[in-house]
Amino acid sequence: MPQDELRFQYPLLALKFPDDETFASFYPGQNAELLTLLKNSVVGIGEPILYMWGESGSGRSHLLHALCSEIDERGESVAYIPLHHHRSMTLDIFENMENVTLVCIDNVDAIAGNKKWEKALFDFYNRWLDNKEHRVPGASLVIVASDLPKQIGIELVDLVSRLEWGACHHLEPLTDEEKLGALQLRAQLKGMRLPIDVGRFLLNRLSREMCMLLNTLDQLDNASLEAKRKLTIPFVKDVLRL
Amino acid sequence: MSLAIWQECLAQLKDELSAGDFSTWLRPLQAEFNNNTLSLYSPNKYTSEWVREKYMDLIETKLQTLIHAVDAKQTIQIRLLVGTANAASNKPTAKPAAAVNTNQPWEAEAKSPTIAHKSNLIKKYTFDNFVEGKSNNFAIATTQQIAENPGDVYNPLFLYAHPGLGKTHLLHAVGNAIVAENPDSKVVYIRSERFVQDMINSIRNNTIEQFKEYYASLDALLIDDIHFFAGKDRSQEVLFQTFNSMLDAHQQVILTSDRFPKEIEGIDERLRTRFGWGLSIPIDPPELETRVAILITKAEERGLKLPDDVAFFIAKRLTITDVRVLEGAIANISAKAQFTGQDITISLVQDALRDMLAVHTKQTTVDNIQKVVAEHYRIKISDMSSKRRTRTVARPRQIAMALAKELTQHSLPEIGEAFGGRDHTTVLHACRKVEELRRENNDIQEDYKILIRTLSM
Repeated sequence: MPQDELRFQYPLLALKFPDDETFASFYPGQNAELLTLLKNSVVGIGEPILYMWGESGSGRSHLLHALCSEIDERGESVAYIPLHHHRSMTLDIFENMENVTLVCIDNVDAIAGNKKWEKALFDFYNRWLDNKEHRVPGASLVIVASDLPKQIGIELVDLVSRLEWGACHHLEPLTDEEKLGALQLRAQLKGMRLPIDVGRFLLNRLSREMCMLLNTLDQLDNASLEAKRKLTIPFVKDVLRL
Repeated sequence: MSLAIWQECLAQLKDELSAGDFSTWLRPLQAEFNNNTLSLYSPNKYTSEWVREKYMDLIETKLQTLIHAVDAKQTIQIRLLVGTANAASNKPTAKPAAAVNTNQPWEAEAKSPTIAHKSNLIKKYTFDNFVEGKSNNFAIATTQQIAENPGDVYNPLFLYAHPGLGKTHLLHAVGNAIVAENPDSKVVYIRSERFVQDMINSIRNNTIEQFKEYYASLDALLIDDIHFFAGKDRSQEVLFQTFNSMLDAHQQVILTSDRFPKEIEGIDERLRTRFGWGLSIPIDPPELETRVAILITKAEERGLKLPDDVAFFIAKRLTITDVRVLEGAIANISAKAQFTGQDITISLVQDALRDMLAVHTKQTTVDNIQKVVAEHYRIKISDMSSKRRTRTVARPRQIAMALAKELTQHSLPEIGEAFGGRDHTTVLHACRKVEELRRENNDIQEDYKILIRTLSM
């Protein structure tokens, strides 16, 4: 398809993210160190380059959106580049991004093997480094992937070498107990109480992917408000038709 | 009317759009409100056009609704521009995209042929903070000589190495040293991608002659990653002319690449030949002692004290590595030490580098085993495949063969092949001999254990 036709195609989003993805709503589990690192970068004492990797559903995008939100609220420029949508974008997306205070590049694995995109990211990375003296304090580049740089199939070795340069952190997936904690935290932020037995019931009976569980929590929140009832196992069974 | 209206509009859009779309397209917009005009600035033309195409109607509708709620007669103009914002005041400065902090060393304006020189040199890269070792001392000595007499010796100089071994650092170091020696020197560091882009821009702006003249007027031109010129015929032609004119005038040219000049594919033969006219020097991966020194230096740059035993621990484990991996390791250790408040010990490092070390384990190859064993016994890697039979060489070679049999899935003939085309019976003999020696000689047994630990971490 010609490039011009591609240019304005709308990226298809399978999932609508909840808009409450903040540091406060992120349940750290075993990721307290990473969370501290990200919070430090907001106040300008973190690592300028951070490579964060973890399985899909481990909260990668949550953290990126939280980071974007914090920097944005500080009145500085942010850019979030979801490379899983690269097919509906052009390489121009990187133009002048080296002047932006926070650049978050999500799902870098999506361009593995695509020579043009790999080279474009490599060139952007170099420009970002070269622009060091012009950047505001605390400016950072955060790159997210499913695995370590050498493991994601990037063919341009010069790019792999650069991806390995900064701090590299694994986003540990939550255990079931931690998912329970995460659900309770999210419920609490919504002003709702999620009893442990109800939480365990959800974990035992539903898909244990966090985004699915959080969507269910939203559904239960609406239902309990409407019915003016507390969350109990019979109520949940009734709402979810289990 | 104020920016509060825009903030309210954004809040509404945030509720309606996915967080991904909001962060990608709307969050980067910086707003300015003046004379009933709301100016929205995007980082580049691409995002600006996307917003215009996809969100402008929505933005206009929302804004007008919000404004009418306050004053039914009020209307505003909305402009989409490209530029960057002043973070402190949140007041954007409108700049044409191409003029924002580029590394273009020259700025030729259409009406005025004046050229503003810009070296692109990064001051922090010097010879003083380049860690010297066996793998790079020839490259350092040569570039230092060039810095003293640019254009007179080794012209052109061609440095080649895998990524992350210090090519860029050395280019900046030599450039900085030339300028320190003679502040009036015109030195330019440029990445090949930037050179190509500038050249395209100059053709578009009808300033190609100025472009060529500018480069021909330099005292030293340092071009990084020349292999990215591959397949760019017109750029190669301009480079060829620039190159010839600079060499004729004894102006220094230093180039870097990831491989030896003659091995670069997609580059015109005439250029490849000229690249090799001067001196071509490889930079090898750092050996154990240099890796230790790099780790300690990089830690010091962060104000960290890395104990020697810890530095050796890391250097022995991160064997198949470039300097960026070592820097990444220090960044991780620094974060871990800061977070836990603990001293830097081997245990802390094992925790901080767990994933990185695991990947290196997966990379246990015969080549790596040969390298580690050679380093351990302080012999040359080439001795692993040489015909020499003296015990100082033969014993480590046998140990490496035994390790290759134990740690890899290669067949004995394959292992024999990797050790200078030896027969599989030689490998079998080596394995039996090492087994025997490990039983009888504690030193060998200890060495073997250390080598396995190093390779397995």
